[in-house]
Parts: sequence; structure tokens; C-alpha cells
Amino acid sequence: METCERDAILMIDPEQALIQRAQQGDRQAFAALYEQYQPVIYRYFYFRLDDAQCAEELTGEVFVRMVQNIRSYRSPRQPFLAWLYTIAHHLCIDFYRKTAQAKVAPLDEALPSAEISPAEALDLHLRAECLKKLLRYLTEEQQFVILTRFFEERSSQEIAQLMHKPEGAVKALQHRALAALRRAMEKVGCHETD
Amino acid sequence: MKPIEILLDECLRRMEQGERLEDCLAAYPQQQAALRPLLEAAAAVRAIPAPVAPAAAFEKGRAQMFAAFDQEFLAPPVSKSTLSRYTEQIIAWITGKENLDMNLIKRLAIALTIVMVVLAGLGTTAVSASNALPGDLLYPLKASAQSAQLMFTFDQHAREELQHHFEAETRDDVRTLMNTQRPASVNFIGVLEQIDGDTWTIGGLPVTVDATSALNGTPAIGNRVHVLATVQADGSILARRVIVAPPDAGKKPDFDGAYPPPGGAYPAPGQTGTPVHEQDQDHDQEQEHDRDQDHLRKTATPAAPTPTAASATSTASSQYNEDWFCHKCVTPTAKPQDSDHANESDPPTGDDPSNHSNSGSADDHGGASGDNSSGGNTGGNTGDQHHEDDTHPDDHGGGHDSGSGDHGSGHD
Repeated sequence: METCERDAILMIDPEQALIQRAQQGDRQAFAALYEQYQPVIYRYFYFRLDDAQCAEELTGEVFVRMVQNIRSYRSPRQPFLAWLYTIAHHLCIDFYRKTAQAKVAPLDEALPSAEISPAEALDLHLRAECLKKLLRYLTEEQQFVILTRFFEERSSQEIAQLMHKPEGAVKALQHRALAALRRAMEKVGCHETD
Repeated sequence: MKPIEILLDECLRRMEQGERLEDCLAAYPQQQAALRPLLEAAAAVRAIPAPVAPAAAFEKGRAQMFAAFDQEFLAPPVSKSTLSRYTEQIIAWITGKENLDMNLIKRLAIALTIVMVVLAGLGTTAVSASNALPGDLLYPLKASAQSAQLMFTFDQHAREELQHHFEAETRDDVRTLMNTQRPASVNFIGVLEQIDGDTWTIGGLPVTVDATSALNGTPAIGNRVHVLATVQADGSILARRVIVAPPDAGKKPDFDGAYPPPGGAYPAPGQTGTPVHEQDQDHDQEQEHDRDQDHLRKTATPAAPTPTAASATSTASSQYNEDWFCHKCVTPTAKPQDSDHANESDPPTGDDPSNHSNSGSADDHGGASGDNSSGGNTGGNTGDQHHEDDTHPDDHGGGHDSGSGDHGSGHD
């Protein structure tokens, strides 16, 4: 009976099957998980830190720890991405402890350069840089909601699952985050670059 | 009307599906003023190109992950024993090469706790036994402890001193029973200090020796006597049997038929020097004889090889007294007849099967006393990473208004 249920779950959720393979030491499963989640974790660090190089290094470290601790991951407790975010969160805290002052990182290498003119790129750069700085002024939870909603394109329900919060709380958090960002944009003038 | 955060979420979802901002606002004309700045901010954020890690960083991260994979999943299994691994960890910790594994600390702590609990239990039992009185459940344990202490005291003089100390301790126990008027069978040794009719003073204790009391030997003032008695409800001590130790019984007892004297010079009850062998022939007396034997069995300690051991002057619980009493006076196999004293002349030896039976009783007695990881942390709750109360209406509005670095540092 348990086997049937497990098989049913694996049929429904291919991600869980992938994780289970990884837990059993399947190298290809790890490769697949890296492909799937590396961009997400990188964006998390990218908007949380002022240093793109540090974001790259910490992203790599998240997946090292994923390998080291994947046996302890239990799917019913939390989504796998939430588990990865937790690892990233702890690394972020360590990073802040070690670096007393934040450094401004060059944004150029992260911006797509194709199909936009130099003027557009400059404008985009300025606006992106401005918003990126403003995003750092949000609380961690507000940042997380903005990041997952607008960069990961996740619904409020999915974000609620990741954050272990009610969906209504996530919507309220989203509202406060956008309101705070809007006020900051007006104050600094980011929106005038449009 | 729906709350603004619900309308905002609905508009964001419609815009994600391709609807224009103006169209969404037109759907909620009364909330346009509130929704517009929020949706514009959302649109501005959405316009930011999603950052992508450089290809080199992507590959580097993957290589790091596979290196960790090789170490975690392809490394040879640990073949060392648990003990050697723990030993190595402790040495590494002492030498400062690495931190002590928390699992090891936990296991050591558990083991230490168990040892401490066991020791505390044993200590409590020992203390309780040391305070036990005759008749108590733990009293045999106390007697065994005394006997063991004597056994491992090899200096003759020290052993004699210890023997006298235990005898005095036993008399103190009897005195306590008297004072508390607690009935119990007792068994002690002391010097016969005074005879005043039925009341004898033995080792400082007043003992009633009446017609029901059996006497073995010829008591005289200054003799060491072994008393089997009962502390009665009124606190008095009624002797069931008084046995006179041979003159040197306190030091080196001689069991070669010299004691008691052939012919049995047993004093009558209440008197000295009067034979009491007629009473010994009495059936009731014989029953008491058996009771005494049972009593000795209960209070006996593990047998010494021979009754001629220097511990012959032990307290009621000592091997010497047991042998002295059992083999010289009331041999279990003795029949209720005059000739039962004939057994007393048989020198008990270590090879005597009856000794073994005594040993068995001692064993019974002994039996009676016996009755008495960082990864694990990182894998924690996601909620740990969120410290803000999401129900707070405007938790960071002020900071955002200012747009100053103060807020950012506070956030950090």
C-alpha cells in the first residue's frame, strides 16, 4: 500500500522523483536539479547582495550543501525550493556577518545585451540599478515576495507554500512591498527614467 | 468591496496573462487611484531583466557540486570501528585540529548520565543499607558489606579492630530497636558484664534470660557471649539462646572439640553452671533450635573457607558466628537427643558438607540482598528566514520614505 502511494506520488510529482534519485546518489539527478534551480538561487543572491561575484560563489556553495545534506531533506516538510532558499538564507546571513560593509557590484555582466540599443541599455541599466538598490531597502520577506512573484513568476499560492504562510498574508505582504517600493521610487526618482 | 491587496493580486495576475495596465484599472474604477502606483511599481520591477549568472560561474558552480558529490557519494566507506573513530575525533579535538562531532558529544553525555544515575542509585542503596536495622529489607546487605570488608582486611590487628567495631555497631542497632520498641529478631555478641536474676547485661544491653532461654556453655562475668534474642514490643530483649564463646573465641577460636566441654556444663535458665541439656531434649526447644538455625541462615554471609578464620569474632552476621553456632551447637542435621551435642565435638572443617550447606544459606542470603550538522541546520524550517510579522501594516514605510542607507543597514 505504501509502495503504491509512493509510486503514485512519484508519478504526480516528477520533481520528487528527481530528488529521490539524487538522495540515492544519482549524479544525473543532481545535474538536473542544478540546471533547474541554479538561476533561481542566483537571482536570490543577486538581489540580496551588492556583490555579483559573491552571488556567484554563494550560489555554488548552496549546491555543494545541497549535495552534502540532501539525505536529510524530507519532502512533506517543505518544498525543495524552500529548502534551498533556507540554505541560501543562512549563507546570506553568514555573508553579512563577515562583510561589515556592502559593496556595489557591476551589473553589466548580468544584463542581456542582445536586441537593445546602447541608449536603451543605458536606460535599462540605470533603471535596473536604481530598482535593484531600492529592492535592497525592502525587508527580507518583501524582497522574497517581489523576487518570486516578478522574477520567478510564481502565484501568491505558490509563494505562500514556499514561505509557510497563508495566501492572504502573502498578498498583504506583496501589497506592502509594492507600496514601499513605489514610495522609494518617487523619493529617489527611479520611475523618471521611463 | 474587496480589500486592496486582493484587487492588486487580481490585477497582477491579469497583467501576467497579457492584459494591459489600463485595462485592469478600468475594471476597478473606484480603486484606480490606489492601484495605479502599485501596478506601475510592479511593472517597473517586471521590466528589470532577470539577472543570469555568467556561463563561467554556472560551470564553476556545477564543478563544485560534482566535487562535493564525489566526496559524499563516491568516497570509500568508513571501515574503522566506532571506537577508533571516536578516539580519533577526541584526539583531533584535543589537539585543536577540528571541532568535536556533536553526535559524539551527545553520546558521551548520555553514557555519562547513565553511569552517574547508576552510581547514584548504588550510592543511595548503600547509604540506605548502612542505616538499616535488623528486620529491615536492606539489613542483610549491610551485613554482607561488613563481612566483605572484613574479608578484605588482611592485617590481623586491623581486622580485630574492625570486628569489634562491627559488633558495637550491631549492639547500637539493637539499642535503637529497643528505644523505638520495634520487635525484631536480633543476633549480637558482647561481653557478659552482669547477671542480676533473669536480667543479664551483655555488651551494655539488658537481656532477659528466663526459662525459655537456652544456654550453651557456662556463662561467667567477662565472657564473650553470642546472643540470639528477640526485641519485644515493650523494648525489652528476650534471649532465645545464649552461647558462651570459648575463652579465645574472640581471637582465634578453637573448634577441636574443646568447646563446649564434653558432658555439657550448661547452666540452667536464670542460673549459671546448671546443665540445660534436658531442655535441649525438649521438642519445643528443638523447634526453637531450628528457628535459630533459620535465623542464622537469613543473616549469614558468604562462607569463609574454615571456621577458624580470624574473623571468628565477627558480629551476628559474620561467618565465624555462623560456623560457631551451626557446627558446634546446632548442627542442622542434629537430632533432638542427647547425642546432638556429640556433633559439637566433631571438628568442622572446610571440607565438611555442612559447611557447604552453610555456604548455601549464605548464598541465599546474598540472593535476598539482591532482591532488595550544519546541513541539518540549514535544512530547517523555512520560516526561520522570515522574521517580520507580515500582519504589520506599515512595518518599513518610514525607512522607505527616507530612502536612506540607514534603513538598509538596519535591514542587514
